[in-house]
Amino acid sequence: MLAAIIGALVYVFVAALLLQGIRRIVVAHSQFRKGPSIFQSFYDFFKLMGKESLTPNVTSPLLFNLAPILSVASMLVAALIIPLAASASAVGVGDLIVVIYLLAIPPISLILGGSASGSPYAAIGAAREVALLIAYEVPFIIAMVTVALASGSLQLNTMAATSWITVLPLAGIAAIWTLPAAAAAQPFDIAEAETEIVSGPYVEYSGPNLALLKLGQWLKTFLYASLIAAVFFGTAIYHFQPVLNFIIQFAIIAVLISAFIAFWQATTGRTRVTQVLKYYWAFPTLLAAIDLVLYVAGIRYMHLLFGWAGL
Amino acid sequence: MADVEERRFAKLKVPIGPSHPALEEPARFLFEVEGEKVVDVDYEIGYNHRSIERLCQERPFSKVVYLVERICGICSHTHPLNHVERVEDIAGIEVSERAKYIRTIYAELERIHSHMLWAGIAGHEVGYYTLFMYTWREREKVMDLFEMLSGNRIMHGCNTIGGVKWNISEEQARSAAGVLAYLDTAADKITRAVLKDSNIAERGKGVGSLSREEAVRLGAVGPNARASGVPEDTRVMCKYAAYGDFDLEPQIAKDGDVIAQALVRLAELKQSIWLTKELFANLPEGPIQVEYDEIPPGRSVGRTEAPRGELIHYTETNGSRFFERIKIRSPTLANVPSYVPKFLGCQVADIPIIAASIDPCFSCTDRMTVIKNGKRKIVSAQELRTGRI
Repeated sequence: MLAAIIGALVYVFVAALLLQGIRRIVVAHSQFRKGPSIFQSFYDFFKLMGKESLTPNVTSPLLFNLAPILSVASMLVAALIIPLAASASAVGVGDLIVVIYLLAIPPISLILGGSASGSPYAAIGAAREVALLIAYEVPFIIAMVTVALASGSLQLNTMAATSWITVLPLAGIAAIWTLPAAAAAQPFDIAEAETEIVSGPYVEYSGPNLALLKLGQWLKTFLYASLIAAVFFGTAIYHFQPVLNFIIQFAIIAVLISAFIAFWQATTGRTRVTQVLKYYWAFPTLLAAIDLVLYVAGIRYMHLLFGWAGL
Repeated sequence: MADVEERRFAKLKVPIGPSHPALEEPARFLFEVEGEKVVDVDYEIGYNHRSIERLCQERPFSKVVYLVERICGICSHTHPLNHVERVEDIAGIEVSERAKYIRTIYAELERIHSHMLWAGIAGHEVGYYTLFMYTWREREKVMDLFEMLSGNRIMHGCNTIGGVKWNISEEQARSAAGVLAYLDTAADKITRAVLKDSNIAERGKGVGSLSREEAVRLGAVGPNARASGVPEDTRVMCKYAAYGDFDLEPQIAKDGDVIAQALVRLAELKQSIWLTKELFANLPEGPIQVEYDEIPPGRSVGRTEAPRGELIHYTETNGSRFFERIKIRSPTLANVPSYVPKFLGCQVADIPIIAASIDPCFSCTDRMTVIKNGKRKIVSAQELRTGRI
């Protein structure tokens, strides 16, 4: 059990940081650049950890310094209860509702820390983060609830036993569609928007605090993708040696991130807040809602079309 | 409790600049915002005063040409072009046709690279970094062309009183034609990338719009004025250098918003590529420099079309080796007042792209501001004389 927990934590840390390196390289190549080293996020993280952390005068020091710790701590808990590269999570149990709340904590700590830092840029960034969170959580939660209904359980280990993308493809597409917003990647990096509000909530953070806030964001990107992969692609493929399982899982997440985040990042400009809301509440929400309504109405269209009942 | 109420409803003051990622050069804007909406704006320029006009009076004629070339890193040809035309006007020097054509070639290549640079910066401001990388990659071709023609990418040192310094050989003209053909297709691609992108359309449509009346009232110049439908192009109006030989049409759009600015600049990009091709093809034979004796006392004022708009130089000589006075009105100074109607009512997210939309070049523009004890002060001529360096 202890070995599984330590293994999961180390894997999540390494994978989340490597993933950022891959993403940056994919974006760089689509922009005719060479890009940084794949280990750049490690260098950044350890460099920042060794620096001094400053707390601005006008801030509420407790909230300001608590936010980064909260962000990383919630993600470490989430790493233990999301099934990563095995049929069960590291601690053996995992509740969907808990995971959804845990995944909302990094943005919320960003909002708290940003609001506490007393900078107008951070205040605008925090307000934008709220809008972003509301925008992508709606389709994501509808998609997840649809799967929970279909599998008849809120236990992630039970839900992940089936590859739900074959049964509820529209909900799967909607969930994957929310990935760029959850990762705060390019078209949806409105809360950071360095040309507008100078990286928003991060603006007053420095040193270890900044490193932890960033780490929380990176872990969240990886775990969010892992949750989608576990629920919609299933965990049945992970029946090899543990190391091979981890490699397969990382490859799946890397492809997801490269295809849906890096590609999108390279081909669009930044959106405005109103655009994000319009965007996510229109199409992805509609897709997820269609699947929910059809499932509740008892219409198994994938079964009717292809005879699939779920793998 | 009263304090809490007040803080909740207070308008947030957001400073942009003097040092901010949205600005390539120092300028300060103070925005008052309600949520995401801008309700008031104040601007301040004058962070990068370099005393160019004063320095121009302290150098002999031959060196001033190089000094005015260094006013702007992007308009590094149109400043000396305007300057030498003023001196030639005072001294009555007739420049050869070939020299005029070569000057015009440089001026148009400068416009091509400047507009490409603008498209890239605009992409950067809306967070579309691929567009930035792409246009700047293509812009390198123009810089290479400059290097081939003059030996330098930025500071060409092409103009001199009485003509130009670098001749263009047959071989150079041939390879330039190849580069221009390539740039033509690149310009088409950039135009498609900008105008067919639904996200850019949404970010730019109606953002930072300026009506024709406002543009005229605030004295906007160049592409900024033409985007609002004012058909003013100094190349067409003044016919300086070799522009009299070609039939140019001012490129205009009507809304004055970011999309209109892009439309005007991209159309000018195509126009300039066409014009440069024509110039290379019709390059007349002849000398590139003429001799001149001395510069008599006199004064001259003239306009040229810099990539950012109308550039005015006033030059006065007194018969000695030094200038009596040189006064430069760079286009950004005329365009800065049009920021206020553009910014009012916009969203915070639109601030960078609106700031970039007039293609500002604050450092060429900067006047001196004296701030003592937190108060701005108007300096008298006497104080300036006693306090000068």
